[in-house]
Amino acid sequence: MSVVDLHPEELLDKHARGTLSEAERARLEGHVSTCNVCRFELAARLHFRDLEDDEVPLAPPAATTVVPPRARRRRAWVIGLAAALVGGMSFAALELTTLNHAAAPETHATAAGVKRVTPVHPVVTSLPAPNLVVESTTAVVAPHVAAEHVANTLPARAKTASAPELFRAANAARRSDDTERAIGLYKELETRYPKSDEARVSYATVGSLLLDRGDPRSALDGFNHYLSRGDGALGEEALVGRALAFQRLGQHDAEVGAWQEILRRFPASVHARLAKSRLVELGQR
Amino acid sequence: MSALVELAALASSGDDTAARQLLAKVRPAMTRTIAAVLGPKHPEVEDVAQESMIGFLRALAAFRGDCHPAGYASRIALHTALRARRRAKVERMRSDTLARLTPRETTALPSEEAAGERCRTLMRDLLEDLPSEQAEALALRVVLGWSLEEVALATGAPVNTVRSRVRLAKEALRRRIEASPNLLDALGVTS
Repeated sequence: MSVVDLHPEELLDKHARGTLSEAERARLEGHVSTCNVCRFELAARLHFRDLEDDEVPLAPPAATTVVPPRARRRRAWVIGLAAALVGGMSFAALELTTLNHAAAPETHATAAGVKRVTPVHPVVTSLPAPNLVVESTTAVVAPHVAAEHVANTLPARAKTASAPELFRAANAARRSDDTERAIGLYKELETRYPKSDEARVSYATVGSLLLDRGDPRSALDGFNHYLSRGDGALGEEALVGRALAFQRLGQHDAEVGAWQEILRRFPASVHARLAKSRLVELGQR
Repeated sequence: MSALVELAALASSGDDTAARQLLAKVRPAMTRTIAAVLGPKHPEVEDVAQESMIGFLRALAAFRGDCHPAGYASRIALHTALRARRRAKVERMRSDTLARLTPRETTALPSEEAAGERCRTLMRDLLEDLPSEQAEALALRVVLGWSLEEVALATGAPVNTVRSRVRLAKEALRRRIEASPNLLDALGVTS
């Protein structure tokens, strides 16, 4: 096939949906017989679908299902995440990421000891793609339960707490809506272990907490500090936090620059719509 | 779908219960997307899932209900996974040691399974290198199986723009395929 050849994308879509007419099927087969790219694409679509069927669980096992240790760890992780997220939608839910599972014993204990809330009933939803049908029986836990357990697993802190321990304690406080204590612990972490991965994440986390608490100036310091250390996993989110901080400070020129930086560095960002919207509001095109 | 959209609106307004329920609904789709892009055995699958869910909840404010929430979540997961792959690639270039964090399948596989893995690996590697808009369009179509119209709706781009992105991505794909004659043989894709 030459460079300028067009591929019959609509026919490929109909093939995926199983709605090809006989004539369309013949056309598609004729094209595929001479086009390695579309032939490869059809094979790739099948192989990725196979992946869903064979290797990736379509739905988490029911709460009563006996799961192997690895699967149990995975679910524990996700449950902890859910608890962290709904407990404040904060950056600090990344603690398990950053800690590289160093907190595994406590994390597992958290999941094993938690009290489950009423499971979500199985729901089938229709998604844009036919192979993305969701059937979920996930149970999540109340955030304060996980937080309390994590807090209780923290050994006597004082002089001996490690960076991971401080980070866990700070996260537990955050999930319990004890923002003051959380910020204090994050700050202590940053002071005592300034070069640790936990401290780095904590700058963005504290920025998020301060922004939510109505202190955009201090939040800005946190986001800037995080971003000053190069691109991290939360770089895009920290940039958005910085733009929001500028917005709340009324620093419109800086805000424009921040949103523009997001669009420049992450043009396909899920925050792009928000960025563009704000730029229009600020008189930018 | 309307119930989930309502749930998303509640979650966006700060309703923790709604956020929990919404996450439970969209997480499987996000996890599948991430595993497809990274490979299910990639060591960062769980971390990227976590990062994606954070991004999803933070992006709810911009969600207008004009597509399915799980589709919206999948797109966020896709972006996060692609970023993770690009980060890993940069790190691999910096350190040979880190290359071990993205293991290639080395054990003997049945030929059909091996062909599938090679096919997926080629696609994932391509997604790493494509411009982000092209990578997104191609991944949404090939990895998630979305139609042109669905991709257009999700990305806010005209259908013809999506078509153009897919065409450019496929041109890059063609070059990769033609540079891998063994792959063509393994897949039974002949010139």
